[in-house]
Amino acid sequence: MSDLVINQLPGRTFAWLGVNEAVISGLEPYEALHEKKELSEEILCTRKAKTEVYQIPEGCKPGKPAYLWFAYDRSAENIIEIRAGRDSEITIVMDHSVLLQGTEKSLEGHLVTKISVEDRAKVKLIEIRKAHAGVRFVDELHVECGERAGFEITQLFLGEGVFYQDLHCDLKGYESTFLADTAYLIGKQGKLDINYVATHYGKKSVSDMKLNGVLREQADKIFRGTIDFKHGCSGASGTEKEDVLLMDPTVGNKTVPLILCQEENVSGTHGATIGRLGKDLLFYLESRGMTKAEVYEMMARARIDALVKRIADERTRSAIWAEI
Amino acid sequence: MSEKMIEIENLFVDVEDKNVLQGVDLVMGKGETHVLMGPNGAGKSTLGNVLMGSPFYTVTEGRILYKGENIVESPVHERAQKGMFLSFQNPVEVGGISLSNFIRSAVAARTGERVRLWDFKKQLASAMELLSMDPTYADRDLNVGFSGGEKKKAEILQLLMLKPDFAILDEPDSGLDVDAVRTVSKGIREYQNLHKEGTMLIITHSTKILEALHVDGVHVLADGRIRENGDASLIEEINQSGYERFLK
Amino acid sequence: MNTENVTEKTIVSDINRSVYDVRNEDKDAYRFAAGLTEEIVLQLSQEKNDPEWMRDFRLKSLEIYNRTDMVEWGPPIDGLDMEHIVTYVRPKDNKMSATWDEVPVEIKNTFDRLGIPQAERESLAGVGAQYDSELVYHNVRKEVEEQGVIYSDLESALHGPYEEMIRQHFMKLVPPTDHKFSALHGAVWSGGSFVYVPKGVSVEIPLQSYFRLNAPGAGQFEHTLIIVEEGAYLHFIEGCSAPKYNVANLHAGCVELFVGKNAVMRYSTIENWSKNMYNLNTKRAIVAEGGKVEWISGSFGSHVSYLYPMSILNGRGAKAEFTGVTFASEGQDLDTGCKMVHNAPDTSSYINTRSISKADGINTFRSSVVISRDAAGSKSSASCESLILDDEARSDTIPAMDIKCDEVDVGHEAKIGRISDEAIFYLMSRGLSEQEARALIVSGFADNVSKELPLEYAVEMNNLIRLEMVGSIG
Repeated sequence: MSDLVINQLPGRTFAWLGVNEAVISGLEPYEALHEKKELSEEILCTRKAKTEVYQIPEGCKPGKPAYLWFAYDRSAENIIEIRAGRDSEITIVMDHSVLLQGTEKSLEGHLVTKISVEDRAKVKLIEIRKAHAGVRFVDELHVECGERAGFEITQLFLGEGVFYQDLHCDLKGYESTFLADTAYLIGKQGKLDINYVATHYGKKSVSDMKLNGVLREQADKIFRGTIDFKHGCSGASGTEKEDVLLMDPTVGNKTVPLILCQEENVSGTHGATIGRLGKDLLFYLESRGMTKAEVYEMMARARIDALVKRIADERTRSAIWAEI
Repeated sequence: MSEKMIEIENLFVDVEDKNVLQGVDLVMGKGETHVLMGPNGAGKSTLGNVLMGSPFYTVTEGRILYKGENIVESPVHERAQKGMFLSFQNPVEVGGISLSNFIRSAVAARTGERVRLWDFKKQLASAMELLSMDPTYADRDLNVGFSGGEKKKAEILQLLMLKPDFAILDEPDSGLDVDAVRTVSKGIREYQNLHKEGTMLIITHSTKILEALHVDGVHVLADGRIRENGDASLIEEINQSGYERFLK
Repeated sequence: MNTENVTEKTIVSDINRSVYDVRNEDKDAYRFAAGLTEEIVLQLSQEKNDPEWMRDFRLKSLEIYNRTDMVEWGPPIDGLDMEHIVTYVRPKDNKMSATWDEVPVEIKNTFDRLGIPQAERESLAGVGAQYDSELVYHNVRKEVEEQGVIYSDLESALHGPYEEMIRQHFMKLVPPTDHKFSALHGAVWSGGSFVYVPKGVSVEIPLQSYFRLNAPGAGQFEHTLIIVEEGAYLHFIEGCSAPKYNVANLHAGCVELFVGKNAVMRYSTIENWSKNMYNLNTKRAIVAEGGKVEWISGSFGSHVSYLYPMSILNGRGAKAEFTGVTFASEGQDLDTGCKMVHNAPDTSSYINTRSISKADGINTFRSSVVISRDAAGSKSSASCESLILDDEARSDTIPAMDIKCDEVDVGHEAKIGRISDEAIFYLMSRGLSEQEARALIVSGFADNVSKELPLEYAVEMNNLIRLEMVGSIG
């Protein structure tokens, strides 16, 4: 069994920081992920994975979201390809919480998703992940957007498991967009290792990444966020904002927000705020009678709630409220 | 003078090594409404915030007796649970918590009991109506994206729902248009009606908001000290001649 | 394998190769191995009349150098002739020192435009003429001596009453094991300043390394060691705006600052190495309780730079500030930034950098902010802005924060963009040409540094910018 090297930082830095990449032993890399290869029978058969290909026809705009449930037992791999045809619009909800908890066993999930959003299509992906200790979930997601195509992803990570998330969005087309809205609340010995890369090729492409999270107990987290402006993406704009609430002295947080730029006419900004709650916020909430501990619990929960409220689909929202 | 709610004795306050209040004395009785006025930068807001226990200021000398107890060392949430309230001049935005849920948690903290949802929602709706607030604001995140006027109204809404024993209003009318000032004033009068034993300290440097209110005492704060204590007629004098005579 | 260079053979004597046999087949390793030898280092040490401990130190460093790999990130250093690295160390022997005639035309032109006096020019170009600044240097020395301040060159200080003090501090902050070029530095360091400021002394005038430009060693492997005792204050200025030219194109210097309790150390630099140079510099400060280090840094020259001044906040309440501007133009690949390490409670770090990329210049801002478990109450705030001036330029921002404590307040923001058309239009409507408008805007952009520098330096820095942007001054 080989090692899977994921979450690679597009601009490597001081090695001792330990953020240049993540190496996961016992998992196999999936070569075709970053190429334009079709998921042929041949490729699918060489892996013992469950694979699915979804083609959304041109112009198709179903009013309701599509729900994908995943069945895992001890360890499982899923490979999914989604092709959204021109002018189509779809919301897909991928819920892994059903399978990742409920049992006390250790579980390993590996999901590889490849999405192509063709010209003027819009794909919204909602992913909920809740895992107890003993669960390791590795997710590789590669998205490519055509002209005026849009990809939006809402991600929620909860619990004490170990999560790896590698997300690449190539904004190939003119005015293509990528929006990421992520929240997390990781506790106990949980671990979250994320790598978001927005690569701007197309002129006037837009990317925006927002992360809002909470770390408690001995949780450990690495967030790498890259906005990469390639030569020729004139008029592009990229923004990145991370907000991390640290609740216990034993947490570990690494934040690596990158902006790589080879194009003159662009605008890129990123911001990160890490630490405890601001004094002014604490004062305001305490002045209404809440103890410091109560305020922290409320605010930790509020970050998750804020994200859930932004999920348009009622059914998904209720499912999440029921879970947490 | 009825039983004392607040007694401030020789209070000295620093902010970041700068001495802002230099020996403030002030007494307010139960059921009374007092007004604190003074030129900009005098330290009025500082006093209001220090009474509530703001972490941004340090009390270097003096006492603050609340219902006879010195609260200078008391943590903020305890002061609130004992019945103190501050309506902030620039309330913070708190994403992820709805206005309604927030007030409910605050009421629970104040009374120490669980709040019955149905009763609460009714009370909230009627208070919001009194303040001409759009009912959909109840479900919006606390202060997020609220205009200046709406933020101030949300503070007065909390005043009405929490019914504190001692309410400090820090410039409740700053940045508001004429209608909004009237509405806030209405809210303040409603509080006075509902809670006759309640004491109020209104910090302001404009007098519009005081027009329809009954005022028991007026105090002028300038250069870190109380320069004059008087009654409602002082307001008129300030309107006419400003603060000049207090600055000598 | 490779063809062997005849000159190489006459210098390198036969040594038991097994000691230096590098076991991997890597091409680079081969190049490095055929470079510096123990004998050369010994010779150097002897010439300098090193005390025994220093000689041993050099040898140990050489050993470390030979077994350390180059880092796997950062600009390529292919242009460095590592095979003949010995030539960097012994330029005269290898007839590497130029005559004035051999100094490249662009360098001479820059001197001309910046109005540098002739005598100074030769010194800056390493041609070795005696320079008047020696006199200025001696006068400054006398003045501060009265306060008990020691300001001398490091080599002679090694033979005086301060030998023990130097021994206790030398390369303790930047050990040879740190990276390949600090190991090289440890083996062949030459020249540099030693400054000692006693307790409570405030040095009113800034001390400058510029005074000692023509010191032996040509400034390539200079070591600056500064000790500021409790409650003292010092401002040290390194470099100058005129390009420092050297045919041997490596600068692997080292700066170590020891900042005592409640002391303040301000270290200003304008680095303008000529555009053939590889500037692999290591600068580090360690700050005790209540102390503060302020770095002011303007990086303009060199072909390739690796420069990350690092501040280690070791005592409660220690502070570090880094204010920098980096300007990368044609043919330049500048990798600069800073590192902050919070090891004690209530420490704070503040980073403010601006970078400008022009023509096909590459600018990489690389930083790290590390807050350890024992650093409760720490604050760190970083602001990095990048300006891209044309189509071919490149600017990368690679910051990292590693936080192992919850009672912290860490903020970071970065922005990248271009000069707004509105700003240019506005300035042009007031009579400036487009070029001049852009030059003015870029100067304004770099003011985070220029306003922290003494006036003459600020003026020089602005002249440098103008030269880059407009090709002339005034």
